[in-house]
Formats: sequence, C-alpha cells, structure tokens
Amino acid sequence: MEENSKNIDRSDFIRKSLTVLATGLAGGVLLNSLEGCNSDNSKKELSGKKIPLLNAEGNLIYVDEAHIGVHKDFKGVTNEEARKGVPGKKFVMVIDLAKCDGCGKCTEACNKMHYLPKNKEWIEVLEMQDSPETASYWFPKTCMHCDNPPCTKVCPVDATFKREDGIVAIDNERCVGCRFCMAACPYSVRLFNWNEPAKPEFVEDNNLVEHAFASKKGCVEKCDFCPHMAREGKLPGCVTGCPQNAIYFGDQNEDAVTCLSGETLKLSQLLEDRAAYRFMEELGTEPRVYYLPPYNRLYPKPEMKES
Amino acid sequence: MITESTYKPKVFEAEVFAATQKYSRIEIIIYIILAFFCMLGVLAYFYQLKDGLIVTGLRDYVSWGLYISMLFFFVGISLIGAFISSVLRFAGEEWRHPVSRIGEAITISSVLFAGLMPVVDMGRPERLGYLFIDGRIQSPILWDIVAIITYLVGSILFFYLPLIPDLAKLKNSVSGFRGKVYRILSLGWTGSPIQKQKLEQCNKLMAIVILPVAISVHTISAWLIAMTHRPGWNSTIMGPYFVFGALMAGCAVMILIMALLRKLYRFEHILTAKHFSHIATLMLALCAFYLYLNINKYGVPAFIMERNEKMLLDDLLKGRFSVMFWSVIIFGLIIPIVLLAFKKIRNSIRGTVMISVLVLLGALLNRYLIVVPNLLHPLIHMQNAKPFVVTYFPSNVELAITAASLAGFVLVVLVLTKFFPAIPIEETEEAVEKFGMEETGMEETGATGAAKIIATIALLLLFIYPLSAQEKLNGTINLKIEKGDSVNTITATVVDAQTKVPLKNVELNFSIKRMFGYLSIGDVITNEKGEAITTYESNLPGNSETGNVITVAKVEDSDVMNDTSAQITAKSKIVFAEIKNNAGGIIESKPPLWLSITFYGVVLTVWSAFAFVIFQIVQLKKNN
Repeated sequence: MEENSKNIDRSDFIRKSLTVLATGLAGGVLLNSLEGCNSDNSKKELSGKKIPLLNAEGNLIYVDEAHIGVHKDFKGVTNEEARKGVPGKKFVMVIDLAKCDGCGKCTEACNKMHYLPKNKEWIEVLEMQDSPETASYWFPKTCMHCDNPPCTKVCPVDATFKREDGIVAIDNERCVGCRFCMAACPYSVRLFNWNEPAKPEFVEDNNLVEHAFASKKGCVEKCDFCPHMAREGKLPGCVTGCPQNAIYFGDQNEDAVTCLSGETLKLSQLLEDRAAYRFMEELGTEPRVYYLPPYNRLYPKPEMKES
Repeated sequence: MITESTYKPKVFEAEVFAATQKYSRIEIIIYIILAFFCMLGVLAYFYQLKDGLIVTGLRDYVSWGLYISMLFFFVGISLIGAFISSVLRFAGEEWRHPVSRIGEAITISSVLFAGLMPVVDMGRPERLGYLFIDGRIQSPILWDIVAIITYLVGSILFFYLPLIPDLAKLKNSVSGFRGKVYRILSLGWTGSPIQKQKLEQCNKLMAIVILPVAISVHTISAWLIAMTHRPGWNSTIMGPYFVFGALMAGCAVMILIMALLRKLYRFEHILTAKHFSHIATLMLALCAFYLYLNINKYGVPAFIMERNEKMLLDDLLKGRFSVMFWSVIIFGLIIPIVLLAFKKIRNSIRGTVMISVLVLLGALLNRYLIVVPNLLHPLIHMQNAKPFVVTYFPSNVELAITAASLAGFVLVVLVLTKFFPAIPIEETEEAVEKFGMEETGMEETGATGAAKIIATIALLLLFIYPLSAQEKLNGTINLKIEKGDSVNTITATVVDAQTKVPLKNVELNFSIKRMFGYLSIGDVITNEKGEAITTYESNLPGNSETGNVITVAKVEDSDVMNDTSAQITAKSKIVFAEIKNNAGGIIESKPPLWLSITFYGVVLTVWSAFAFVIFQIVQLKKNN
C-alpha cells in the first residue's frame, strides 16, 4: 500500500484527493494550490480565513481560503467525449529498436500507471530474431492501435472502438466478455480478467473509458496509449519510464514525436531517415506504432534462448 | 410393394400413441441419469459465475476452448433436421416421413444448446442484453445470434406444422394438461381440403426458407474463427468445411438418437434398418467428402509450409496434437468410410450405430482441434509465458458443463419426442397411402413402444531556479515571421533590454511547439544587427485545434545572456494531413449503408416468411 501510494501520479492523486474533499465537505470547492506548480494561485496572499476540510484519513483539517478554488477539470470528460477521443489529435508511437536494451522499465512504469499485477503486461518486451543468421533484438510490443483494427470490427457491442484520435479503447462498462477481440487480434495484446482483479486503494468512478485502472472481472483489457495522460498533455507511462529514450510518442497531425528527455523529432523525417516499419504490415491492420530497425544498436543484443 | 391392405393405420397410430403414454423403467433410469448430469452442470456454472472464468482451463492465449468447440458441435448437428425435412423432401425421399420429427427435435434441442454455450463462455453473462441494445451488425457475433434465433424459430415452426393434424387426432385420447396443450395447439384442425392445402403450402415455404437459414447458421459460426488473422483459421474453406462436417456429425447423432428411441419407444417396425441404412449411406458420402475437405484444409497449407502455418501443422501432424489429429482422420473418417462401404454393415442397425459412435467422437475431437491448437499458435509466438498459459486442458468445471450440455441435449430430444408423438402420424400415413409401406421404410405391425479510499500527503513541488547575479547580457528577443511559398522565415532580433542596442553572438535555439515537446528547427548565432534567421517548411501542420504553429526562440546558453525566450504564432497552411481509414466503414460504431440493407433485408425476408406461415396456421380454424 505504501509502495502504491508513492507511485500514484500527482495529477491522479490530486483528482482523487479532490474527489474525496469534494464529496466530503467542500463540495465543488477544491484545493487550488494542489492544482499544479504552474498555478499562479500559489503566490496568492493568505487570507487568514481557514476553511475546514476532510482529508483522506478522515481527519478534519483547516486550509487557508486562498488555497481553495474551483477545479476546472474536476468533471473529467464525459463518456461521450472519451469515446470520441482528444479533439484533433492522431496519436502515434515510435519505438527505436536500436536504443532498446530490454531492461523492461517500460513494462514496470506501465504496470505502475495502470495498477497491473506482475503477470499482466500491457507492454511486453519480446526477444526477436527473424531467422537464425540474422540479428536478435529487443522488441517492446504495445497495442498497435491499428487504423484498421481487427478487434473493433468484431466487437458485438461496440465496447472496443476506434476513437478519432487514433486510440483503440475499451469500455469496460459495456464489454460482455465474449473474447472475440482476443481471437481477432493478430498481435496478441489483449488480456482477459479471468478473475476479480486486484483493485488499487482508491475508487475511480467517473470517466468510463479513460481511467488509469481499467481492469474489470470478465472484461478484456490492453494498452490504451494513456489517454488520461495525453488529455493533460503528458506522455504515456511507458515513454516516461524508458531510461533509454527509445519510445517516442506524439500527435501525427502535428508531425512530431517526443521521448522522455523531451527530445522532439519531426515524425515524417524520423520515419524516413530511419527506415521505419510497422509490425506485420502485410496484415493490413495499419498500426499506429512504428518501429525503427535495430541498426547500429547502442546496446548488446539479447542472447536468444531458442529461435 | 406392400399394398394398403397389409398396412394397418390403426395399429401404427396406436404404436406411436402408446410411446407417448407409458414410461418404461429404462426410460426413467435414463431420465434420472441425464437430469443428474444437468444438475451437476448447473452447479458447476454457478461456481463459475461466482469465481469467474478462472475456474476454467482457459487463459489469455487459449481464450476459447471447450465451450466454443461445443458451440460449433451443437450448431453442427442442428443441420440434420433441416436436411431431412428440406433436402430429402425436394429429393422425393419418402422414407423421410417417419424420421422427420426426430430430426426436427434434434435440431430444436441442439440449436437451444448452441445458443447456450456462448452465454456460458461469456465473461459477463449479465450483460447479455447489451447484445441487443448496443449490438453492432458489423460483428459476426450479431449475425450468429440473429441466425441462431431465426433458425430456432424456424425449426420450432417446422416441428409444429406437421404436428397439427397429429394433435387433432390425439386430442381426445389424452387427458389432463397434455390434453389441454394438444387441444390448443391443434388449432381446430379438422382435416378439410382447404386446411390440408394451406398446411402443405406452409410446409413447402418452410422447406425452402429453412435451408439457407440452416446453412447460414453454420457458415456464420465458421466465420467467427475464419474472420481472424490466425493461422489455420484464416481460410476461405471454413464455411463449407463446417457445413459438411456438421452434416456428417448430424447423421451420426441422428442414427444414435433413432436407435435410442427405437429401443425406448419400441419402434422396431417403424424405424427399420432401411432408415438406418439410408442415413448411413448419406453419412458415408459425407465422411468421404469431409475427408476430401480435410485434405484441402491441411494439405494445401502443408505443401506451401508458410512459417506460421508450419508451427501449427507440425503440432497437429507430428506434435502435441498428433494422436488426436490422426485419430480423427483414421477412426473418425477413414475407418467409417471403409466399413460403411460394405453393404452388409450399412444395412445393419448395430453396424451403423457403432460406426456412428466413431464418427461422433471424431466430430467432437475435430471441433476441439479446430479451436484449441490454433490459439496455441498465435502470429507472435509465445514468450516468457507461464507454463499453465502455454497449454490448455479443460477443467473439471468445463467438463461438467459440457457433459451437462450433452445430457441436456438428449433430455430435450427425449422430452420433445415423449410429449409429442415421435413419429408424424398424419404425414406418414399419407405417404404410406400414396407410396406404400416400403417407400417409407416401415415394416408391418408391431407391439408398443445453464475502495476503499486512500490518499497521501500532497507534496508541492517547487522548482526554484537559483538566481545568479552574473555579468550577463540582459536582452530581449523580438520575433518576426515572413511567410513564403515553401518556407516561412523567422527573424529573431536580440536587443539589450535597456539600451535597445542589438546584441551579437547570442546563440538562439528555435523550436516549434508540439503536443508533448518542442521540435527543434535549428540553433542560430545573432549577427551584427542582432538578427538570427531560420526557416521552417510552410506546410508544417499547425495545432489541431487552432491551426497555429508556435515558434519559440530561446537563448541557448544562459551563461551568455539572461534566460529568456519569445514566441510567435502563425497560422499554418494546413491544419493537419487527413488520415484515412481503409476498413470500409465496418470498424466504425455505426454500420455502413450497404451492410444495413443486406443485413436487415435478409432478416426481414426470412422473418416475413415465418410471419406468413404463422398467419396461415392461425387462420386454419376458419377453414374447417
């Protein structure tokens, strides 16, 4: 529990604690100072007037009036907005195989962000070798967020769907658990909640499609490109978790991708210069994840156990 | 040819009627055993509901297993009813009459369980209603649901139509609840020529409509797996492969059920070796054809040996599943073909029953082999997967539910053939009158017969930049943009903040703001006029909401000059390049027009035929 609380992303934490506060006493009035360091409100002069609030432990605390404000994004997005996606965006991911050393930090970061147990991996680092004589390499595999997704085609209830921002999302309030999408996905990225998933120590009850925690018994889950982060202009967990700066994420409409270090590259140029390819292009699934071949690898190749 | 004189309609009628009345001891034992297995299955299902699908052997790789295999099996054997009452009807096979109701009973029962198996397989069965509220007709699952429901209704109608005259005939001979049901369902049938003509018209229409419906049910079930990117599944042969394999299994089930009812209801003289022999001959042809389809299904990819297919085929032909695979081919197909080729075996009831057991077991294993090994060979080969994930063996829960479904299937068939006369009386009698005893395959006279809530202490992260009072240039940046055809030129002028004197040798970094970062477009050192000039392509897409391209000029080295930046906004020529999908609309939430027309058109056509038939039979009363 301690471990988990530390790992809660700040914005997530704020939303959660604010939810608590709002539901407790303040009701729609929220701690402004917690909104972020960029807020000018932190410079506000203290009024001296204290407002009683209920904190997470259930204790009554007194907060200066100046630190309380109405949180603009409190409502989050509606289910309809979440189904539509972030307006005007086309998210895209580029993974530089030359930089990947198979450390698995992306998986760790992803699991933290989505509160996944060890046996679930939304991003899986595979060892690849196309033929015995050719080079072996590490291959982080996420959901490809295909533009022609075989999974959404077969969903009988529109529980998994293609958003306008390119993300293939899952609405676990609607999934009936038929697992047709799992059979249809050629990349084997979809996972099923065979039993009651371990829940993190909070309840997120708004935002049906865009939660960090998406596991639900009897429903399907997979990599979601972290739309809850993107909506705030933040990079997905795996990108910020990759110490090698091997994973880039961005908006194809803006023709740019960014990695952890903040290095922002022109997408079209990067794809051309590095001879990018998409995984299993021949299937016609039109993935939104591009791979840069492991040419001039920066790190040692994986030792292949078997071909 | 046996003439009318030797045929005793009263005796035949009495025999069929007697079978609906008395329960023999062996019948009661069979009912108890079947009911026990059904109860066990229901208990197993409640356990599965409570704990989730974790209680099955299914995991992320093999996500479909025994339940879906059984769906294919039940959908399969349901074909036999339509085949007997439709194809044989148009082929003028008069021996079909005594067995047609048994065939329809098998169809109703198997379609019921075919509908039940996917529900058992669902992760959230309580959301079953979503399939109707949020149903997407682009999904083969919706097609399957509609086809199964349609087929079920059609089969019930087809079971019911020839039953009307029989119920009218028997309504006075039975008392109590059954008598009431018989009386209501007989719809005031008197057997007037107009009634007979109308019924025949309905029968004919149903015979035409039911065949495409029956074939569609099985073809769509095959599409559930054929319409995926998986080796062994993604094959155009799947539809026919399923249809004919189904018919073959249906023949075997038909023979076994016939044998069972013949013994239970003492129909020795009604269901004769001739009926068994006719269906066995059909089974022989279907086994041979199914073997041919198998050679195509496995032989063609085995010749090409494409990488992914090779993994699967190696497993099937010489790997983990080889014993099962070759058992199906040898014991489920080749041996039955060889044995059925002998007229002597084909003509004996015992012989056909034994071969049917082989064919049935082969068909069951075959369904399993179609589903499981394919899931163990995904396009991306399994890595670092836990041992229990890389194999599949059905758990006791699955086995119990499967056993229950099979028991339930037989139970429903028994109930249907017990509550209603198992043999169409009127239909058979008419056929006998017209074509004689021998044509119908009957013999003379006989006897009787399913947060807690937590939060942590908020840490306000304050980034305090150390303010160092060094002798640095103190300047400001002014930006200017000049739009060109191919490139936009950004001119940054760096001047001293107080004196407004241009500052030279200041290195500026230019970048363009993107969603998650700044796309660098170059570092330029200011010239004597304090100007730094850079360009960017004028077709660089703007922000998706505003269409703006924001260019930022920033001091590169904060040791030389105060850390300052300036930004300039310009409308982009293009907001963004439109990115199209190529899926032809079926990935969308709403179905494309062509699909809606096709889907609803087909459904409407079939259902209007049903409606017509229902309308006709409701009006029978007026025609007596």
